[in-house]
Amino acid sequence: MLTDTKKYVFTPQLKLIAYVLIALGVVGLGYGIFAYHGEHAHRLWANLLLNGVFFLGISMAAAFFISAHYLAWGGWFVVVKRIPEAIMGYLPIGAAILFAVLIFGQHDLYHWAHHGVVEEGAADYDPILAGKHGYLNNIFYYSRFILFVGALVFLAYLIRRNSIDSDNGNIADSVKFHKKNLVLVSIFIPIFAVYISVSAWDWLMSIDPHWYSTMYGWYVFASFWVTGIAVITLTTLHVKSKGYLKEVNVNHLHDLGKYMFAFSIFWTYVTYCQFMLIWYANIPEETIYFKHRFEHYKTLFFLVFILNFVLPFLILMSRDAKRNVVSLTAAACIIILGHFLDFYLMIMPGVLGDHAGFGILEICLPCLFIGILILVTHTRLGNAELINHNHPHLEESLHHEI
Amino acid sequence: MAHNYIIGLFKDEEILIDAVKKIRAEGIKIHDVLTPFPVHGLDHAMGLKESRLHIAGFVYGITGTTCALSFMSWVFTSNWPMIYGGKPFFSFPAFIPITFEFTVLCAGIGMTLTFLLRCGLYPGRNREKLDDRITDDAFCIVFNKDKKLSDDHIQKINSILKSSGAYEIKERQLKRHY
Repeated sequence: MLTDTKKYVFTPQLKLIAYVLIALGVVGLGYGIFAYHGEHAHRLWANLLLNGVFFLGISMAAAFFISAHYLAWGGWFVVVKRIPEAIMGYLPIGAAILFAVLIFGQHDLYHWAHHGVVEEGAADYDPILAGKHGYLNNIFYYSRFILFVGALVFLAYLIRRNSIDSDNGNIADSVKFHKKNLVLVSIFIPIFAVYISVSAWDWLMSIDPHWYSTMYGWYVFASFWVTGIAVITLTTLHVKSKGYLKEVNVNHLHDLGKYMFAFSIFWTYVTYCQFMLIWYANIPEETIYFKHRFEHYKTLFFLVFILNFVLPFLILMSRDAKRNVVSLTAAACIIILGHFLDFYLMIMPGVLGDHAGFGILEICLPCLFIGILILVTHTRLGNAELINHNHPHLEESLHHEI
Repeated sequence: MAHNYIIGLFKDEEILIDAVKKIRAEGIKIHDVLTPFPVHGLDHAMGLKESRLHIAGFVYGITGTTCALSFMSWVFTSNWPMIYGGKPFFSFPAFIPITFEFTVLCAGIGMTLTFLLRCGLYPGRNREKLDDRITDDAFCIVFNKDKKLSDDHIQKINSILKSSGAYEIKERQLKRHY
């Protein structure tokens, strides 16, 4: 049984930090609008796309975390369940931001969206893009986004509502809500599974519209998923350090650590598969993607590999490290930074060629999104009880031992 | 030389763990506990140290990595250099999958063999059973009678085993060390 049902309080200090981050981000955004307009607007839109995709991906991964554990009848995650549920709160906001970026930034970001490329006889007519017009056209592109992301946001909302409702009744009612959620997540997972590949093509791969890779969907999913878990871990550790969530012990942290460790390796596996097959086959239309990134972004190319594979692999290898707050925090921060740079490497060379840089905009804009994420997550944590005390698997989670 | 053991047989894992805790609280050393399936919390109750098997696994893995990488590098650069698909002789990315597989192979087989050896399960070893029932459904606590067990201790063992629900307590003499 639960002994401590203290409500989470979003402290003014943390709120202040969030507002400062948002203010910093708004200043950065203002600077970006002022500095990069007209012909240079590419850089502003590329940054907005990068942050929009990265943070929406984190909240999608949080929703997937809940769904996957529900569907697998997982028990251990119940005590940390409210954390990904809170991060899920960013889904509608992130979807709106990204949708706006995709609409208003489309001309600057995506070459396939230019008018002439599909018109035979036009100056910039491109037969390859004309061949892909059946998939890459505005109506299909935006309806995919609205339909799929709308479904994911709606399902995540229902899952969260059922979870909160189950706290208000008795145990017998909560089983009913649990079964409802089981149905919802079994709808969520197939939609997510299809859309995670589609979104990778739509948002990121179509920046380089001539190039394609069948591993790309997995590659982006692996990035989203491991970053999402790192954010969940960091938030859990933060909330725990404030004296809440005493039920979350080293065994639960160990499981989160195992996830980070395992999916860092999974990301490496997928990334390396994509790289090696293209390197081996050596077909010019495929190698162009890596040639570009290898020639102009060599430092970043290897830095991403070190941050996303070598460091998490070495830090989280031993059992003790996965049960230790310091090593978990370090690994989570490294993973989040590494995967942000990974997305940077996916987007920037495609949009900006070899002119991408790290300036005020690149550093300030993520602060805006981090601020919003903190604000949403912690407001949501305060809105409900920190542990779903009527969840049918709660007892299993409290006695979790590995 | 003959070896003497005291064993207590139990029907249920709950009472087994209680008995283990009580015996350890008395400061009596338990030689081993045998169960038909893994029992949660038993390692902790017995005060077992963390296994070092994973360190062995790491060493085997590193050995595999080094062997595979150095062998392939040697073969493809100096021993028998050949051009495949216009790639350089030392085409590192192509070595990675084989290196990975060999690392896993070495770690897997090495750990299995180490585990079997440490358990004394090498070919030709014929173990005497402490009791036939421990290969079926009995939970069993084993004490080594030859090691620092005074008569007082043996009395205590008997009384604790009895009071905590062992359905049989007996002494066994084995020809070889258990």
